[in-house]
Amino acid sequence: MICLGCSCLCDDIECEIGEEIKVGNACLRGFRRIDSINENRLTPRVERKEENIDDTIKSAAKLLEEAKNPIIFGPENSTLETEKEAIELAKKAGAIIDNMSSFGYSGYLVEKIFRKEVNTCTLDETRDDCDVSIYWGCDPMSSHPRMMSRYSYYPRGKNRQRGWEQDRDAISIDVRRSLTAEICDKFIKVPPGRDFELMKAFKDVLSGKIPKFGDKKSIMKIGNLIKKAEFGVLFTGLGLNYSINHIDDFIDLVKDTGFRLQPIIEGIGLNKLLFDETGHVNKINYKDKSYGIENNFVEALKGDIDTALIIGSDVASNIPLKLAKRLREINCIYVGPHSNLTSHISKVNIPTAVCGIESAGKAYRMDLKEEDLEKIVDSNFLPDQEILKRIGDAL
Amino acid sequence: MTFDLTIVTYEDRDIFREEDIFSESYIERAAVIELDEEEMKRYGVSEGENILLHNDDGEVVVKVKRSEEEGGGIGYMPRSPWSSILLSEETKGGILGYKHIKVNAKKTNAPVTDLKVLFK
Repeated sequence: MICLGCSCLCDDIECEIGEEIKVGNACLRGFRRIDSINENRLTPRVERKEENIDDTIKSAAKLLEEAKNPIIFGPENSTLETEKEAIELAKKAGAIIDNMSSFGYSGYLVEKIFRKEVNTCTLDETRDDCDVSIYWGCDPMSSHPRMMSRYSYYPRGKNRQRGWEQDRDAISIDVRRSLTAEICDKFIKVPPGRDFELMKAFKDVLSGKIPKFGDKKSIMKIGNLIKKAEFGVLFTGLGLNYSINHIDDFIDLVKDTGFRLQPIIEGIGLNKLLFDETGHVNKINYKDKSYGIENNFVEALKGDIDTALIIGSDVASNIPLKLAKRLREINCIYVGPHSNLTSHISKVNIPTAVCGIESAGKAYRMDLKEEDLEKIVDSNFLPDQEILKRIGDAL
Repeated sequence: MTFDLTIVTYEDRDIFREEDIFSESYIERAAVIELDEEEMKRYGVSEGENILLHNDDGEVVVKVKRSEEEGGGIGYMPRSPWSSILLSEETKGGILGYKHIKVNAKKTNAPVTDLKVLFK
């Protein structure tokens, strides 16, 4: 089976679900997703009172119908079918649609890649050709635990037969010695908010100057390694997003080095569908067809949003307390397989099947490779795309 | 006595989105701050004791965990509902400051912040 535990979509997972759940090849994150089908499941509720699923769908549709300024957020780790339904629902409800990619620069970078303004590559190309990989502000060993072993560092690639021992170098740049930093050949620790100075230092090395930041000897050594790379790939994550104020300078640096950029991102399917339709990857308001910062979930929540439909994302755990409390005050509907803080503060809870285990569909890997997800076990829970469709039909 | 501290949040490999956030096991792993020996001495706390973190955006009590990594005025928290309590709603173009949260910190005997009470 294919694992939807993260956007690596590992395709070699062995799984047997009987009285016991037996899983082979998965990382801990993937295993927990499969094992969670019997744990912490959401129950259908309206105003904390248990209801049947049909009534929760009716309540959700009523709230959306009465909404003056609704927003739809998510989904994470779901199918393309669900992402399409979420967009259709946003159109019908005249809602804003956004996802986690607008919480940092990953959405911005992905949009640049979709517009072909920055080079990227597939994970398969990375496995076959990559000789230098940089992990800037990301920790795939924690967030995407098999990415380095399957693609970027450990495997024998078509043109990198001697693997990590001789053919590949890995560099971690982060504010802390993460698990990824522990296994990389080289690590640069950047104080919070000072990534821009390191970028300038690398630019200096690339143009033959002495860098003016940090451990000059080490930065020159890494800068020269970057210069000599035949097929470099730069992975980025939330750490970079929250540290750099000069994102376009970062993009220039990527172009100067000739590296391919691969943001480590979840929910890229929604970004691609929105881009194909609107030219933007997130922050779209279907009420007036506008795009902009005012449609970012956090900014919109500070404004006059009166209803929020959250799909499979515990966004309340990731936003400031004041905004989480605001989410509790407005009409919030949570659609997802498990209980979390967002479901706890929502007025309506609608449980769903766990995609790729209890329901089938298609999904994009982080590099847009499309995969077919199988249903491997029967369940009483409805797929999330069906729930969204039924809410849309009831509007 | 209170001291200034910068908090950097990170994605913890042992915290899963499918988990019950109100379970003891989740709280033990998620409601923590990692401080190095020097920082722990500064606040007069030992591993397993509680610390109060506060700023204009909120206050939270979490458990102290020893960090092997040198702090230099920095504490590390897994990204969780507890670290988000301290986030400012001011953004830079929609981007929240998960990697750079300024707080005051002091030792406390108060229990770890109960999310059910906070969101009653």
